Amino acid sequence: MITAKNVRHDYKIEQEEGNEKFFRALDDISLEIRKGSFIAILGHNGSGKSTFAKHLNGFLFPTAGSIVVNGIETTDTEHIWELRKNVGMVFQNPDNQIIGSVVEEDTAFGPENLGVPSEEIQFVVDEALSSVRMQAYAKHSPNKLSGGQKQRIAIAGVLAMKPSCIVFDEPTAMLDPSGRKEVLKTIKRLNREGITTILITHYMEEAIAADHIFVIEQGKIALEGNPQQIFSQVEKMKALGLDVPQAAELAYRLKQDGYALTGQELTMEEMVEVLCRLR
Amino acid sequence: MIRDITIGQYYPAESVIHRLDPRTKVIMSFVFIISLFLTTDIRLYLAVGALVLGMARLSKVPLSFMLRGLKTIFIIIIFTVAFNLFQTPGTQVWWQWSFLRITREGVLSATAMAMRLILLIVGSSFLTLTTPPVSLTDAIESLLKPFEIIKVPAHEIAMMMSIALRFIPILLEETDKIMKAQLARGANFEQKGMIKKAKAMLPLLVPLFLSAFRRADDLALAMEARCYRGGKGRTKFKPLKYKMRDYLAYGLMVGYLGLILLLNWAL
Amino acid sequence: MSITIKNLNYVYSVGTPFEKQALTDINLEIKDGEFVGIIGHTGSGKSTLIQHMNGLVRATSGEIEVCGHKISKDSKDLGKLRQEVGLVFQYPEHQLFELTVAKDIAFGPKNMELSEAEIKSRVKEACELVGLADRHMEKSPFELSGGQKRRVAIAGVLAMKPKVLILDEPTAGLDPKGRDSILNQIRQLHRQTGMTIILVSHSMEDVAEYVDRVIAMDKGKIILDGDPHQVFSQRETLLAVGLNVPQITELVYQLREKGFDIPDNIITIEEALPWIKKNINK
Repeated sequence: MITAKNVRHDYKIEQEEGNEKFFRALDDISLEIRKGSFIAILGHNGSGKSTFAKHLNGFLFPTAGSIVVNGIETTDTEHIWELRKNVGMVFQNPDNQIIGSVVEEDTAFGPENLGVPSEEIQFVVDEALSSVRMQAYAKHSPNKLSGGQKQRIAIAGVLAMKPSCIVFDEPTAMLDPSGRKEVLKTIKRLNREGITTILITHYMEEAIAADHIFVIEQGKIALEGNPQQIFSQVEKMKALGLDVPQAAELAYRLKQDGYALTGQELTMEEMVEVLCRLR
Repeated sequence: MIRDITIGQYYPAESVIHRLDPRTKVIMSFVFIISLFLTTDIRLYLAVGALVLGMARLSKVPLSFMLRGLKTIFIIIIFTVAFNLFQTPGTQVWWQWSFLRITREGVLSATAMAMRLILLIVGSSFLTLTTPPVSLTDAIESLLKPFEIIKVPAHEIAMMMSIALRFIPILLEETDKIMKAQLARGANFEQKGMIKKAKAMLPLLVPLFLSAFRRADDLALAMEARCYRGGKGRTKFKPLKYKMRDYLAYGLMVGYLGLILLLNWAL
Repeated sequence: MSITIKNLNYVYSVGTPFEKQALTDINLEIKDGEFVGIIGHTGSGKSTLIQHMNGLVRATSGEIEVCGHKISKDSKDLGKLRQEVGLVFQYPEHQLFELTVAKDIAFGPKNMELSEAEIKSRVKEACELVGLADRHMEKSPFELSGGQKRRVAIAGVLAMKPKVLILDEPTAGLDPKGRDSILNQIRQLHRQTGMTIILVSHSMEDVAEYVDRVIAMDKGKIILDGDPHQVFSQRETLLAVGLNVPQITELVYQLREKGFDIPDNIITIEEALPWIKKNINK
């Protein structure tokens, strides 16, 4: 449903005396994201991953190449609102994306903008809040909620627009471990319910749940594959300034020392199973 | 803690006044304020005072809560009373010392002024005490709507107000955090002298403003991502609808205004 | 003794509906030169505790002595204490405000009313300690990358030459490379200067890797305090209060359940490797 073809993006860096310089944030990115899939995008700060995300709902346009989402070219300004309704975005700081002073008012913000009739909004809001398990807080002020709860409210606000795809741009970066867990759980559940999920993150453990991972480095796709393929390349990931889950690192080290591991073990459960077999 | 400060001091309760449409309450406040300026008669003020007390009972907001607003303007009341008391020229001089004198007219006018000010504050605090800030912005948007013809940006004003309401507590908390961080670096915010004072505030104000701008940037992006494109074509989650009690309230309001005019003319 | 805390209690918003006991009966001694990690989930009182250590928050009851200064409810001049206890808040780069990096780092020393020359040398020294290159000195701090901004902010505290450095989640929001590089810098700082360092962190792996002593907090109380190996071997206690153990410790626990011969106090991959190898065949 999302097709990116040779996407390039140059930022203009203003120089003195009209000397224009460009910074190539994205360089020849081509990829395809199937409906209902769960994609993770990894890369260190400044690698271009957020820039790519901003292309998906028409915040930024490619300098060259094209991106088509559900048959709509993202540069087609006539359909920009349809595109944005379809591709929801959740950002890093939960505080800075909640607009309403009451939880349900905030969730209603998207539908209001889309001109959903008043009588229907309540239904949409209730549905969105219950999908993130926050219906009990409908009448609360967002200020007193925990970071994880706030982020779930932000997700509900996007869900209320009934998107087919949600881009999560480091949604857990500012949360504590318990907040991170609850948000990731919500993301996984939404994906199971059929929402195409694109997760940008610095936490490698979160990417394990993805069907497919893209690693971006200097605006290019440096690695791609399923989590097993990606996290078994321990040296390469470290060279890219990234990390691998501890289980994957252990598997890699054992494999290096000649033990019969595939090096594709990612989770604790897998490691325990494999090690028990090797006894 | 700084985050416990509530803005607009809404007092949650179940009362007829709470249930009134916020627009009705805004108009009521206006009518009430105007009515106070239509007369200077102390007897009328006493009657209005009784009415306000009755309304306070009806609203279930404790009287002590309502009178709290007076604390902040206490100085202004004293000043106004003193000014009127000593500076009103009159025919019956009751007491005089140098340029200060107390006349019968002075006493009457000071009493009237004090009553007017107190009624003004207490009466208009009804609006914020019985209406959640969110409904208040809705009411303002709706009431300003007709003025859009003369280019009054009703929707934008209301949107600005609600964003301010949302972010004031966040920015207060942020102020607290930045202040602590700079104190930890030996900052001293209690300098003497205007210039020194202003300079001492820089380590607080610069980060605070930068943070506010960063938030504004983020928020704008988040709003656009949620298809916000101004007030056009927007629907309302909970559109305001007048009920029977609102029409009744408007009726009483007209009656009240008429009565004040009549009595002021008659007395 | 760097820090001695006896029977510390802290209640905030006393007498209002928001009254809450944030810290209960804290007893704690931190010796000179220790590298301590504090863990606990949000609201466990760890931020409140560290703010007591430089007098930003005053105890409701109990005694605190930091670097020879007693802090009580009515201690007035805490300037001296705040020089000796450097506190780096979360997202410290959000507190930068000066026109240049050098000026921002000099803010603390300037408040101490040191001589021009002394300030200059301290700024230079602080930059070296956090690994900040000279060429950044005259730049605006806002031009720098996120990780570099954070280094500037930490240098701003180090320039006051504190005896104790407290860092509240210094790696929040950084990418893996940024996380490692900041933590390595802090470790190096500890080794070079022998400064007492207190690190508040949410990452059990980082705590296991870097610190010499772990304090675990829950609901305003210290529930565990000791060597990381000891603390992380208390898996049940930690899980019960919503904390975790490092992933590798969890793995070792599960292997032990399956009958592997591994001690229960393993906290890093390095420690686990030889034991696992002992248990499996090639």
